[in-house]
Amino acid sequence: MQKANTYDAIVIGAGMSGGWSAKELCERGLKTLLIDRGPDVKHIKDYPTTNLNPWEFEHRGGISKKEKEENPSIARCYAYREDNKHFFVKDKDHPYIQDAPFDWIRGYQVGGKSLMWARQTQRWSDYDFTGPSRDGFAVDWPIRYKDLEKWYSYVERFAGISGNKDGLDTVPDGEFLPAWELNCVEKHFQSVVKENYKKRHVIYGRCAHVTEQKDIHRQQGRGQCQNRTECERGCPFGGYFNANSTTIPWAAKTGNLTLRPDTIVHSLIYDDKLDRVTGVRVIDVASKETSEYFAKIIFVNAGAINTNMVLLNSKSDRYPDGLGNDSGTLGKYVAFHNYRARISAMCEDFGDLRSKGRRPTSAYIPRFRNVYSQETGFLRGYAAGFSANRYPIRSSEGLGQELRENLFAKAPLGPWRVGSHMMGETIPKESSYVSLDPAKVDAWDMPLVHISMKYDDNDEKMIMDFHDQLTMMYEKAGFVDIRVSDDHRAPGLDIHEMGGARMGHDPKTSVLNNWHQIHSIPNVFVTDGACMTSTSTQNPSLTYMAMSARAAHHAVDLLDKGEIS
Amino acid sequence: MKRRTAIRSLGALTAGIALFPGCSDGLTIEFDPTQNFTFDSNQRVWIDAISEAILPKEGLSLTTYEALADYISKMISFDKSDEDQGRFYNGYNLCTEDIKSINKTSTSELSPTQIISYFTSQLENNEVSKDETLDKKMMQKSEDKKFFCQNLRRLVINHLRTSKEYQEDILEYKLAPGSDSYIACLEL
Repeated sequence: MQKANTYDAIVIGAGMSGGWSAKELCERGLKTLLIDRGPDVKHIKDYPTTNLNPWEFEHRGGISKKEKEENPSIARCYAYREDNKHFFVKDKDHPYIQDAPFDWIRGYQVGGKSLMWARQTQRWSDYDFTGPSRDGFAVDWPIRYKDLEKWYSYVERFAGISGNKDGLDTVPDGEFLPAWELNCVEKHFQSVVKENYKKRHVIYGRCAHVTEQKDIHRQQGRGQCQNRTECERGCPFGGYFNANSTTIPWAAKTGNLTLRPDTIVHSLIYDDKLDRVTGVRVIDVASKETSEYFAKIIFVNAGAINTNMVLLNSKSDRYPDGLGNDSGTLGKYVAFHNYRARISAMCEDFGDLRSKGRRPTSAYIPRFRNVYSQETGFLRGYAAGFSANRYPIRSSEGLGQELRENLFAKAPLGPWRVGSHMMGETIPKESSYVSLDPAKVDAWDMPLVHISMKYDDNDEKMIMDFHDQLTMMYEKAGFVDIRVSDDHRAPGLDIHEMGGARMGHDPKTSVLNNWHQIHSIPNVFVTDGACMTSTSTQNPSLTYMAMSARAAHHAVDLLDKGEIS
Repeated sequence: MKRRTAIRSLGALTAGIALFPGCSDGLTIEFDPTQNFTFDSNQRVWIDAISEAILPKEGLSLTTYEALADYISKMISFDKSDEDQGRFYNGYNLCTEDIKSINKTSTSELSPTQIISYFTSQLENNEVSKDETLDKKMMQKSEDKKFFCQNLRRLVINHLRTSKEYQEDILEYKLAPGSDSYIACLEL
């Protein structure tokens, strides 16, 4: 039985990072088992709503009151709608324990959250990797930008990233496909910021959309983005990057991939005689039968919190508190992105201009606070989105013929409205944790996870600064009716939870080394959000992709050299 | 609920029946929150007539997921709590009786103008909660009528707005606009 269930490598989780791990391992010739707890989702075939028009949805895109009440966390997610709700995990089906309020947004299927992600892809710079070492909060990253640079390029070329070469040291340029154009108000704001601030910039938001079909995209069967902006349903053109249309079928083409969906990983099997992990224990979702699979290399890519759960649940005499947890930090120092703050305003100029059509992204303001020196009363900084839009104002006043005439009248364009949202770095703390409940279990007898992440004083100061600074920038641009807001959302809705198995130089204070290996167990790699030592401000997925590709190649190199056996 | 709301709704229903002892046109809705409600044929004719008065669609050929009456009952059940569903259908019953009583005629003989006139008075009725001379029951009835009128109007408009023709012809919706469809700056 063991022989039949033995592979060269096992990848746990078929999402954003797991897809990359599997692709690279398969391409390097390793027979790889890719496990996911959710069902398989085949590109196009399993996008049931992708070609539906608004009038073809029974509830016109809405979610029922009952469903919202039963699933309060997921119902707060901006992307959760009738057209894509089948890709989201329902709170009631997969309960967890909120020691502090946390809206945990999950996608349990092959492809994971890569099906519904926001597709924003900014590289990290050394200002991000050196954040902890500069201010002393959290441990120093054991890698720098130079370690990831070529891997960023590698994944960008394959995934298809649109963007402009802006020449900024805070968000390094990449291998870009053409960008969408900023509209007149966005360009105006860009030039005003450039005139007034040396170190602040407004750029086009780099995103994982194929704006020019290269040969590599043709080989993947992907076409150009058609500006549908229905991405979260899955794209029939393959216009945006998700694991289902790219990495997983690419891995399958090698003939080295075995995909096992509907399979929950219970734990990793540690052999104390060999002093390494030899495989995984799994539970079949439908039958609840358990079985074991074996491999020389294990990649844990279950998604940040689930990866922590798997490691914490992998207990042995050698590791009674979770696999590789010699430091006692496993499950701790988790963090997220602070998305609470917003600002909106009106632009009274450019009344003779408009934009036309839809586009799947907008402008981006890279982090400008505390980049080159500590200049504020809070640590780290924030990035921000920026967009300007102008919509027809259609009256729905009246009754009878008057109402009909209003609804069918040619609607005049309203004023330009502009807005930004904050994407703030939060500081990983020992008091922020995920842990396993000692008694409560789910339908598969897996312990329920406790989550505790809270905003702190640093986050509150950052929100105030965002409001102040963006207000000043908006005023300089001549925007009026400026309104700031704080929606006081719980952590989680940013869908950027990170950490818990952080990378570091020192095994006493971290779980993973500079190659994403567990310090004491070199054949186990973690390359999803769990590995993150700090969060910085950029959307993290591109970095997970680059990390996964880099680590996978390193793993195969070690195997080839006989350093892992 | 469920039980408590059901009892309350049944209570409202009983009161409704007592209020409308002369109802013989089959329009009264006996709302039971434990059942999926759909309008019967008589009620459909009436709700269609009200809806047509609110938003005339004569000459329009609309492609929609379902008929308007089905959309209304479905979305009320979808969007509203059991209690608010009870309020909507109680409001429907009260408004139906009001319109007949004010115009001294059956629903089939009402003109769109008479229906609009009644709806206008209900939608513009902002003084309900401030009128201290109304007892609680009367106030509730008045609020239920307004609740029905507001929600029915909203659903009638949404049903039109989400039709294929309105989406394509008025809102210029295209499922796949094309790779070069976005124009950043365009002179008016």
